[in-house]
Parts: sequence; C-alpha cells; structure tokens
Amino acid sequence: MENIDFEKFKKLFLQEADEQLEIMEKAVMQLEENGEEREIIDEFFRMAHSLKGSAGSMGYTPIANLTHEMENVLDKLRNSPGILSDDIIDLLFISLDTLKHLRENVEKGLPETENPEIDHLLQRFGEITSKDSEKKETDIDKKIYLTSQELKNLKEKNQEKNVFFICFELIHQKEMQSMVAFLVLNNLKDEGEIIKTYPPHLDEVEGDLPFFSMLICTEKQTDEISRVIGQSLENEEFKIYTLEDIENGKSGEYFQEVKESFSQRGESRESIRVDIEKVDQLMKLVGELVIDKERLLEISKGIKANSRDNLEAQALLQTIPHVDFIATELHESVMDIRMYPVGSIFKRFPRLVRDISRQTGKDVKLKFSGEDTELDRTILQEVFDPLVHLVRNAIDHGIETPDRREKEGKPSQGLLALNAWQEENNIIIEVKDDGAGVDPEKIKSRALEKGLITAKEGEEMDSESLLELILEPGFSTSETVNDLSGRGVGMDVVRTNIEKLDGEVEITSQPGEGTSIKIVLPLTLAIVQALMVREKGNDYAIPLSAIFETILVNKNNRREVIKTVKSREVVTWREQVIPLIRLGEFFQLGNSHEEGFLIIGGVKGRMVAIMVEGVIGEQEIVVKSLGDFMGKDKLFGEIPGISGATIKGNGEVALILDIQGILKSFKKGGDSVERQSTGC
Amino acid sequence: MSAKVLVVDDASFMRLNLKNILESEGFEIIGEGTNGQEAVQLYQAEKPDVVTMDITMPEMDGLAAMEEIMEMDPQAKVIMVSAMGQETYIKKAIMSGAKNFIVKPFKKEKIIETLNKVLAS
Repeated sequence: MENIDFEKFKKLFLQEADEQLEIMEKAVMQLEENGEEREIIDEFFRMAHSLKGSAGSMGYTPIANLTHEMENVLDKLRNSPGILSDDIIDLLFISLDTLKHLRENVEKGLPETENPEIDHLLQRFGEITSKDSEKKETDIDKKIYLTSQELKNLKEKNQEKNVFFICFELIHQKEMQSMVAFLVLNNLKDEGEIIKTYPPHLDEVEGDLPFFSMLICTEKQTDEISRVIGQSLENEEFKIYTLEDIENGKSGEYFQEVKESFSQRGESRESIRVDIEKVDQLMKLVGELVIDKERLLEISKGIKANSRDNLEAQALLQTIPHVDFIATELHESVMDIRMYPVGSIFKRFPRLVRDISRQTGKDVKLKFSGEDTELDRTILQEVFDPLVHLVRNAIDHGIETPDRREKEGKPSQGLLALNAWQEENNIIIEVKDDGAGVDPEKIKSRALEKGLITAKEGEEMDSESLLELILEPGFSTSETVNDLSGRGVGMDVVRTNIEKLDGEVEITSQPGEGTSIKIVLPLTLAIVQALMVREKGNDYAIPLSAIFETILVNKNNRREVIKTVKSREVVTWREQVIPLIRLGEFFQLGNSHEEGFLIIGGVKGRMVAIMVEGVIGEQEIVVKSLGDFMGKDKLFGEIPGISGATIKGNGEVALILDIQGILKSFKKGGDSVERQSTGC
Repeated sequence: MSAKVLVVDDASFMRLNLKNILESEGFEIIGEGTNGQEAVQLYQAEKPDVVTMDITMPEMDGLAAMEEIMEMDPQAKVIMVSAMGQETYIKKAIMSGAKNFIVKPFKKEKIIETLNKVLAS
C-alpha cells in the first residue's frame, strides 16, 4: 500500500470498526434474547464481513482471521436454522471482546503478538463450523475417467468438432480457487459443450481447488479457447490437450480410460435442506387437496344413491376412497416434514436460566426431558417467547433464595424442569419448579383488590379457578416491578399467545412445594377432525378434541335432559350439572328450537352443552384463519366463540366454534354475547 | 484516455483504498457508490468503462445491483469484490454476467491486472 497516508486510513478504519463492533454487539444480544432471527444474523454477518475486509487490507491479520471465523459461524446459522446454542452465543461475545481488545492495540500502535487466546477462539469456531459439515472429498485421484464407449463417442464427435482436455493448476490465486474454476467453466460453456470435469461437479465445489480439469467439445480452435481462458485467469498455468494427445498418452496421469462401464460413486444423502417456504407451500396445497377430497366424498354420497347400474359411477366410487387414503397419507407425510424437536428451543434456555439466576441471586439447576418430542415448526417458534416468560417467572417468583430454601428444609439449589411429551393429539410442554408455589388465598385477596372478582365470586371459587386468575389481564402478584418479570408483559400475554395457537395453559401449584405450568398445544394447526353441526341454516365445525358426547333431544326426552336451575338451563351429564347454551341464541340468530342435538363439550374440565338443530357428521377440516378480519380493531371486531373458518365439501364456508371462547364469554356475561359489530 | 471506473462499496475505507490504488495507476474514478441503488444510478449517469462492486451492502446488495446494471447495459463490465466465503454470491454473479471477481483483501497488482484484463476483453 504505497502512496497512501497510512494514518488517515488507520483513523478511518478505527472509526468504522467502532461502529461495526457496536452493531455486532447489539446483534449478539438480540440473538441471545430472541433466538435466530434472519435479519439480525444478516446484519451481524454484514458487519463482520466489512470489518474483515478492511482489517485484511490494513494487514491486521488477527482481526481478519477472527471475523472470518465469525462469518463462517453466522453463515452456518443462516443455512441450518436451529443450531444456535449458548456455546455459539458465548463464543460470539468473547470474540467481540477480543476484537475490541485487538482494536485498542491497533489504536495504540502496539505490534501484533502471538495471542494464544485467539488461536483458542479460532479453534473453537473451527469445531462448530466443521461439525456435521459435508464430508470433504478425500479423493486424491485427480483423473477424469471415460469408459471405452464414451471415448468412442468422443472420437466420432471429433470428426466434425474439436475435443480438448484442459488441465488447470492454480499457483498464484490462493483464495476461492473454486470460484476461478467456476468462472473459467462458465466462460467455456459459451464456447462449446463441457463433457466431463474433474472434480465431477465442478460447478458445485467450494473452497480450495488447486487442480481441476475439463473435457470440452467445441467448434473453436486451440488458440481461441486459450484466449477465452486467459480472460479469466491471471498468470495461472493451464494445458490444452487434443484427443490425439490423449490417445498418445500425453495427458498423462490426469486422464484414464476404463474398460468396463464405470459407475461413479453416487453420494447417498440421508437428508436434504429445504426452504421452509417450500414446505409451507406444500402444506397449503395439501390443505387444498384435503378440501377437494372432502368435496369428492360428499359428491360420492350422492352418486351412491342414484347410480347403482352406472359402471363409470361405480368405478369413480372405487377410486374416491383411494384418493381419500392418499390425501390423508400425504397430509401426514407433509406434517412430518414440518415437525421439529422441542429440544431445539430448550437448548436456548441454559444461558437464560444462568443469567436470570445470577440477576436474582438464586441457585437454579435446569433439567430437561422429552427434548425429542416433535412439534409443528410454526407452533414451536410461537411458543418460545411464552416459555421464556414462564421460566423468568419461575425463577423470579417461584424459586426461593438459597437461604430461604435452607430454612424451609429444601436443598439450597432450586430445580427447574422443562418437560415435553405427547398426550393423544396434544403436545404438552411443562415448566415446573420446586419453589414456593402459589397460595390461592393470596391470589384471591389480590384479585379482590384489583377488582377482578367480587367477594361473592371469591367465595365460590375453588383453588383451581383461583390459580387461573393469574392468567387474567391486570394480575401480577409481584410486589416489586423488576426488569425480569414485571415488564408489563404478564401471564395474560402468555395465555393469549398460547390460545392463538389453539392451545391452553394449565396451572397447578402446591404452596411450599412448587408450581407446574403446562402449555397444552395441538399437534398441528392446519387440519383437524371436526364435527359439523347446523343451526339456523348455517354450518359450524366443532373440533372433535373438545367434544365428549352428542345427545339427541326430542319431545320425549326433552324434559328429562334439560332442566332449569336458578333460571338458567342446565343439562345433567354423567352426574355433572353443566350449563346449556343454545347456539342460535348465543350468536343472536333467533329464537331456539326445542328439539335437536346436545353437543357435550369441554375444555380443561369445564363443560358446556351446546344445543344445535342438526348434526351433519365428522369431517377433516382445513383451518383457515380469520385473523385478518376478527379481533380488536379489525373489520368484524371481537367475536367470542369463533376461532376460524373452514371450507366445506360443497365449497361453502363454515365457521369453527371455539369451545373455550364460548365458555369464557358464558362465564362473563350470561348465555348471550354482546356483539361489537353486526358483521360476519 | 484513461479508463473510467465506478467504485462501489459500503465501507468508505474500502472505497478510499481502491481509489488510491486505481488513481495511482492512471484510472479515472468517475463515481463512488455506497450501496446497490447508488451504483445503479451512478452507472446510468456516468456510463463507466468498468465497475468494481462489493457484494454485501445495505439497501441493495452488489448482486442485485449488478443484475440491474446488466439489464440496462448487457455490455457492462462488472467486477465483483468479495471476501472469502461468498462463493454462492460469486457464482450467481458470474452466471448473471459478472466479468471477474477480486477477493478481499487484495493486492494492488491483482486489481490492476484483473481490471486491465476485463477492459481488454
């Protein structure tokens, strides 16, 4: 770098390095906080990359080397989501500290000395980036092989055109040699047909490639090919052999004819990486297919009755069950692709737990179980934030300080467990601590104080319902607001987020023994089994998971089944008295009928009997979100009792009932809902 | 007549470095772009003989900028300037018409050689 004012460069370099380091530090913190976010990783990568470039040009090799390794790791994060670990976060933090230190040295003009710390860091980076990375070619045999037949074909081609065998050796260019090869290959492709290359997939090779060769069939002459190669190659050696040269053995060790047919060693890949968008697209298509399948089943019912003698109709009827079967299998296969182990989010917790424990002066041991339990990737992403909140709460409010624990006769180290398992069609993720537990009486007085319940309600509530009050908006038992749990994001947000996923939050707690909070999630959101019912000319879908029984109500049994208690209609079902909701009245669609079906449904042990006019039958439905239209400040406002919509076999839309929502609004405001809007 | 060069890089340090090297060899720097968008605008306005294009930049990256320039002028001579490990981008760039590439950190001779080579083709 002659002719340049070195000091001026240095100043500029330091200035930019400061900015870059600051942004990178912010990025690591965000990564630690929010997990892998593409934008942050990209930004981080960009900064590391710029710093590497300028450091390299200035000759600050340690900075360049370290940023280079950081880049590699970031690139790996980009390419294989789910690998972000505390190790990596730690390593990035340490690297930034080291970079800052190196930057100081540059500013002070200190000479670069041997730094074992950097070597150690580089080694750790190396370990991460080389882990499960694709196997490198160990093949040291640099030959292009041709079968006798292939050679014969070439000779025929050589009658009209020229066949050249070109060997390249890169001596000067040391970086990204494979790209030089790619450039040459790309330019030669315009000149003729590339028949074979060494290494076999020359256009896919990355990294070092000091030697490569290709076999080309072209109309051009040697000098022209030589000129084209020269355009993209600076001072590097290459040799062009003709087919005659090959036959005369002049091309030597790099070319060989094999007598028997030679099959290339095929790479057997156990897995491929697929863009998640493609899987989502596939899922959407399968969803559409399921709708069409249901439509076909519907149509086939009509055909069955009408056309016993029609052979074509009969053939159609035989085909449809197979389509049904295939569509279901396909659906399951696609679902399987989307499944991701819960462990991928669990592994972000150790660092978090360590930090929170340190901040709060608690001693906490974190345990996992069921990391292999798989969950739909979309759900898994959404569940991370709520889990973080629960873990924060558990450490901050649940687990006691070591002193206190010892006084209580507990081991001084608290235990926090993240467990996951499958129960029928649900995945359960539990955050369990052995801390102080929650005292229902305290919750009651707090709820009274906050005006969440009346004194009378408080008397009637059992400890389970009291515990659930924690999930109500505006409830927080923490006396002091700290930056851990009291950030204005309460448990109600946890519940709202989980309910958005069609899940539930369950709390159990024993004062003095600990608290367990379970997040119950559906295996998948997209397609569910539902019971189709009819009311006032509209069809509704009720997820089967929320239904226990269906009871026919007619004039004979009406008086026995439906009773009135305290001016409210109830149903006695398996010795339980459960409230009755008439769907038509609930949605204010008109007066109810005296005959029909009772759908006994319930969530979390809270039961409800829903009276509808008719039951259509069970069906697989594809859940379509109404999120863009329903909810606060949206077109239709908030409509309790509706969780989404689906498209029926005949193409019409049916609303999906949300039993939990119905139970909630029923509890709050009697058996009819105040509609905020007349839409829908 | 000296060849007109458009230098595109988001790091002012890099731009200054390239500018110094190129000017010392008699090239004329007719513009400096700090992101892809600027690069496209400058190309349109200044019609340089050759462009050195950084890859990772804010707003619009070098790859997208190069592609837009190639669309505007299929004869455009763009040299990608990249750091180690950007194989994928370089491949895409070469396939969309980039004439050559330089790896950061670079030697003065390498840049001059590559530029001359690309200008001569």
